This record gives sequence, C-alpha cells and structure tokens, in this order.
Amino acid sequence: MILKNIRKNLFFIFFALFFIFSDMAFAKLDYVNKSPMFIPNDYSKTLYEYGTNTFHTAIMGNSTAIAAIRNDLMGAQYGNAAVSYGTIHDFYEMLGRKFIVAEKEVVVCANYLAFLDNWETNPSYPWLREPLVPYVYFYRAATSDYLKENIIHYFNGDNTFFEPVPLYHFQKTIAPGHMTEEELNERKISFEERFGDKTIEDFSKNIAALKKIINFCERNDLTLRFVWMPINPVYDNRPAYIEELNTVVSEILEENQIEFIDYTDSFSPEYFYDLGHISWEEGALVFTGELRKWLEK
Amino acid sequence: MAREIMEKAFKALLFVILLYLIFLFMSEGQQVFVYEGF
Repeated sequence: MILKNIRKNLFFIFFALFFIFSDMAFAKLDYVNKSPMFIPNDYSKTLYEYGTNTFHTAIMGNSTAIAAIRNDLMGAQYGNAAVSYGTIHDFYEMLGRKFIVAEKEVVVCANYLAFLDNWETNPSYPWLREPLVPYVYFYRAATSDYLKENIIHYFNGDNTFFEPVPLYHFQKTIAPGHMTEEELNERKISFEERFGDKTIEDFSKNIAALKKIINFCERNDLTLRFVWMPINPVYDNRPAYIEELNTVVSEILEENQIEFIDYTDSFSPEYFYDLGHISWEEGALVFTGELRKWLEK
Repeated sequence: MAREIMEKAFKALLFVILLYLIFLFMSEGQQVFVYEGF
C-alpha cells in the first residue's frame, strides 16, 4: 500500500526532494554574499575585510560606526561588523542566527536611528530572509541581473561570468570631509521632515530587541557593552524623543548592569561630516582612540 | 520500474529548473540595492 502510494506520487516526491536539496545547496553556497561577482552589501564587506565572521569582540553598529571607527587602528581582537541602516533588531538577528559570531564580547554602537522601527534598510541583508523563503527567490533580482548581464556579454564574445565587480564596491561607505554650513542646515530641515513626527512609540520594537540582545549575551556568556554614538552639536533642533530614548535605553542598561558610554555630545562640530557621521580624517582618528581607551580600561 | 523512476526524476528536475526560471522572471521590479552614501 505504502509502496503503491510512493510510486503514484513519485514525481512530487522527486520534485520536493530536488527543490529542497537544491535550495539548501544554494543557501549553503550563499553565492550572492560570498562571491565577488556580485555587488556586496555591508555584511559581505565585513566577511571580505576580515575573512571570517567570528571575532573575539564583535562591534555591531550602523553607518555611524562605519564612519567613526578606523578598523586599522583597532586591535586584532576587534571585528567591526557595522552595517549601513543597521538597527538593533538587525544586530540581534546577526548574532542570534550566527551571521556574526562573538567569542567573548559584543559592543553595540548605536545612535537613535538604530532604534527606529520601520527604518529603511538594504533588503539584501541575509538575515532578512525568512527561513522558509527559497534562497534564489530571495535573491532573484541579483541573480537575474548577474545572469542577464553576463549572458549578453558572452554572446558579444566576452566571457565575464567570473569577473569580480570593481574593487570600490568592497569598501564600506566612509564620510571624508565636512558638509558646509548650508548643507548642514538643509540636512537639519530634511531630518525634521523625515523624523520630526516620530514619538518614543516608534522605537519600541528595537528597544525590545535590545533586551533580546542582553538575554542572548547572558545565555552565551558574552560581555555586552553599549556605546551611544556622537551627534553633531550643530544639530540643535533635535526632536525630544532623542533624549527620551536615551533615558529609556540607559535605564535598561543600568538595570542589567551593562557597561555603557554616552558620546552623544562629546565631540565638537569640526570632527563631523554631517549631523551624525564622524569625519574620516580627524574625527575617526580621535573617536577610535577614545573608544579603544574605554574598551581597554 | 527503474525506467519509470528515471523518467519521473528527470521530469521533476525539469520542473525544478522551470520553477527557478519563474523566480528569475519574477525579479522584475525588485531593485538591487546600491547604497549611494550619506
């Protein structure tokens, strides 16, 4: 009876098996994030930069941490896994699903935007793929673009299937120089338009995610530290929720005896590129020195 | 029997490939994210 049923449904059994195993193989291969023929996202850039996803101390952060931390001046034990548009929820997913593995310590470097729920993001970050979504479906645009472009090149007599994308794609976006006063004023206006109407409620999911990170670190015997990233003092029309969020989060950290440092207003305007990103030349140098001093004290 | 199994396996493989092709055709409208800086 069972054999008869198997024989009857042989096509569907093969179909399911082929599909499940091929999907597992693609996911394991992770060609979009691990092959230099695809434009890397910031997570892939971390893998390329360090050649590993495992660090003694993993620094989790958003673009403010990319701009402010000079990785070459941090010790070998530190891995800066910061990603543009990274939120606290992203950091939890990265750690929880082992996209980034910390052996001893996790340092979360965040500003208020890292706590903003419904913040835009790079949809190609691998932790945004739900477990049941097929790999090729999730990365269908990247796969399709790669195939289309290279097939066209191939028929034009140029085999570019294994040609890596240009080198500049492999560096995370840093912030050299400084915005002019006029540009800063424009940025202040655009921030008011984009984020002015938010309330502390718009940060609740990421506040909850911070608690998950605290629990995760406790369960895995990891030391957790938290850094409030600096904000340019010229950003003087800051919404009230920034201060409110700082208080709520700092209370959570204190309750859980998490060591933290608040750099929010610690850096003067000449160290900034814009309202929240430290300038690469002078600012990052000073910030990295301060951060190391604090981490190693 | 062996021939029947082979035929069904082959047919299933073709349908899996077809499914992947459908995924690729569904990519229309899904943008590849390129971060343009601050």
